[in-house]
Amino acid sequence: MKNKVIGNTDIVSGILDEQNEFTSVYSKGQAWLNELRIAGKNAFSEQGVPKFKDEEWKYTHIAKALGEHYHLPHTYSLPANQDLSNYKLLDANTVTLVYINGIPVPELSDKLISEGVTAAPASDVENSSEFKTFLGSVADISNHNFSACNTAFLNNPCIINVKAGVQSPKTIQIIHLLGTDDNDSMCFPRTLIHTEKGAYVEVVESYYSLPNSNQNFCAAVTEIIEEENSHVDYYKYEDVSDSTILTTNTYFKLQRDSRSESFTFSLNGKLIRNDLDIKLTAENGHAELHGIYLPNGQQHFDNHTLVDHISPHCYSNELYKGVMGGSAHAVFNGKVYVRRDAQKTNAYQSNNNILLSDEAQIDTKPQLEIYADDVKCSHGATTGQLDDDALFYLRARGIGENEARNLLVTAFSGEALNEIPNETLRDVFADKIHRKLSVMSH
Amino acid sequence: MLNIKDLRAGIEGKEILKGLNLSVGEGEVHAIMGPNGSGKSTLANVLAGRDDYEVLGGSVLFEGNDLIEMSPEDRARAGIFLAFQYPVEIPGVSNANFLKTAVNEIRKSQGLEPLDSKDFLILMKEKLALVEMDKQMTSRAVNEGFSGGEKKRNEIFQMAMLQPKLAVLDETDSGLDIDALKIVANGVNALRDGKRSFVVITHYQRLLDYIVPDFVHVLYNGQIVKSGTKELALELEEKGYDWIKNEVAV
Ligand SMILES: Nc1ncnc2c1ncn2[C@@H]1O[C@H](COP(=O)(O)OP(=O)(O)OP(=O)(O)O)[C@@H](O)[C@H]1O
Ligand SMILES: [Mg+2]
Repeated sequence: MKNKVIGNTDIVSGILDEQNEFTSVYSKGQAWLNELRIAGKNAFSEQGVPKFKDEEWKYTHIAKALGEHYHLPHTYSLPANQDLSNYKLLDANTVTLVYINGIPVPELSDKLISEGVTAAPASDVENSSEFKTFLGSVADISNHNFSACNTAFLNNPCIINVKAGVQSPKTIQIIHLLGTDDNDSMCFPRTLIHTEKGAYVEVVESYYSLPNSNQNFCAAVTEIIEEENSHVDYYKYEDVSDSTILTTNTYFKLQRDSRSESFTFSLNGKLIRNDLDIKLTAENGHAELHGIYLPNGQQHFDNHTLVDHISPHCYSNELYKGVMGGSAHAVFNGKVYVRRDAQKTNAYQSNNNILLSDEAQIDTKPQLEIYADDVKCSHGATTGQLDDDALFYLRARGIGENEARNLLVTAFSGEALNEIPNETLRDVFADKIHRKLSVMSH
Repeated sequence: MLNIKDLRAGIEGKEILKGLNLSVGEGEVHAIMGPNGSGKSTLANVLAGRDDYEVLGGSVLFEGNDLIEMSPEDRARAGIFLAFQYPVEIPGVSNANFLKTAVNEIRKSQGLEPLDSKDFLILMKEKLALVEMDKQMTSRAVNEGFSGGEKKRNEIFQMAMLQPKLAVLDETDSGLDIDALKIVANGVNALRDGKRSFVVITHYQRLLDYIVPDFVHVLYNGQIVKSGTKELALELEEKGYDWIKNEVAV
């Protein structure tokens, strides 16, 4: 694709122009994606970018943050001497798939050779069109602007499939590298995870900006479809630059007796918006959803979660923790729906926040809507500051002020971190938190 | 070791210490008694460097250095320890992790290598025995869910771990039953080595039966209004504070 900057004052028509050109280049590839792509384009041209008055975007003025024009990136290569190990979160037993601006980079990716486990770009998957029934089946393009936008640019999604009864022995880490050295690039990574009956897989989806990349925008979509009695551990790790705007839409569909653990860790970025939608569609589904967000300076992080209890006897447990420094702004909106048929539901939700400075801000809104009568549900949100008495206590024992703050915030976020089943990742994340805290302003 | 001259300090615009003088020499034990609200905890907090308190005048020298200019952590590293009247609960931070961080930060300030896990455990075991505290308490969060007595004992345990030069105990005896009181007193006495100094704030002469002070002072209305030896404590126990208040009024 050639380098092109559109001087369009209207971001939506600018994106659509790019999409037209994109389609003319890519429709020859994965033909089974054409229909979806058209549907995405239509949905996006109808909705455009979320507006001020959109209730779901009340505190996140993304149109303003995005500015005017974006174009597809012209360069897909990793800068010379770039060391991938900086991006790998786990060492042993991990298969790494590298995507630059949503385009797979086979030279940098591992080939997964494991009986019954597929993890590759669609172009490398035999009979990839078999996934047509799944791709786009849970992403809600009629209500989610950026899911629609992502779908309009659908090209070569990452496909992870685990066959019935197979427990993937490898963790799969997807490394998304974003941005280019010219201005205003946009990209649309897409992932599909499908576990067949009784299967298990652990996936880490991580987002980084390329070094020296300029202002850029990434709208990622991940769909996770779990068949009966299967289990997915899914981690989202976001460490992009202060000039990257990142939106993610993540959809889970849980069938009978299936289980999901998701952890969303927003470490760095200019503006991050995560939408996590979990549908418990059949009995005895179990969803854990946890997260930590640490915006500092001018950063703006927004988490919207929706747990939809459609069927009876399901369980969901949600804990999100936020620490805000500088004049950062965080948003948490957690919806839990318990539908009329979803008797014997257990649904728990909690969101706790610490503001390190007077200028930092949090808008938190737990929303519980219950239409069944025999359920156990709770929700709660707290916002506070670091405990001065505790801080003084630690300092009076010889612990320096920064270290003391660190200890307290680590203890605070630890509660969410302890929900992570993978101990290695827990330690890695704890270390990331530690590093971020040491630069956070109070 | 510690020289306080004409110290005036207050909080939220209210003057509480109104020209306080006190000298504590190496190895000495000073008891401070006085009615509620007279400023004892204020003095302890000002010594530890709590910045809610404003120093309005006077000077505090510790081993010749101006304490007032130092941060709380630097005071602790210089060898000052405050056993709090009301120890704070810190959820999520384990006692052991907290103490290891503290011990090693203090060691670092002294140019010493950090203790490794093994040596730290050995030290901890020894000091736990001193205050007859269960090892299991160290894996719990700092003071969280501790009983009043356990919190006080934990303060003495920390003191034993950190080995300060000057320890200020703010009503460490309050709320202790007689057995716990003895344990705490034994802990303190074990650390009396002729060099380490103590300022013991208490309402009860009972404690002073176990920790025998070299000097007893009465703090009243922000000043030390009377000083004496351990007999003064007995006299206060017997007669209360009214006679001192009268003396001051005259
Ligand atoms: N934050 C505050 N604002 C106003 N006054 C305060 C504040 N903190 C303490 N004081 C006052 O300062 C005075 C001295 O308090 P301090 O705690 O030093 O007394 P104390 O001698 O330790 O008393 P006790 O024996 O009850 O522990 C009291 O009158 C108290 O009410
Ligand atoms: Mg007091």
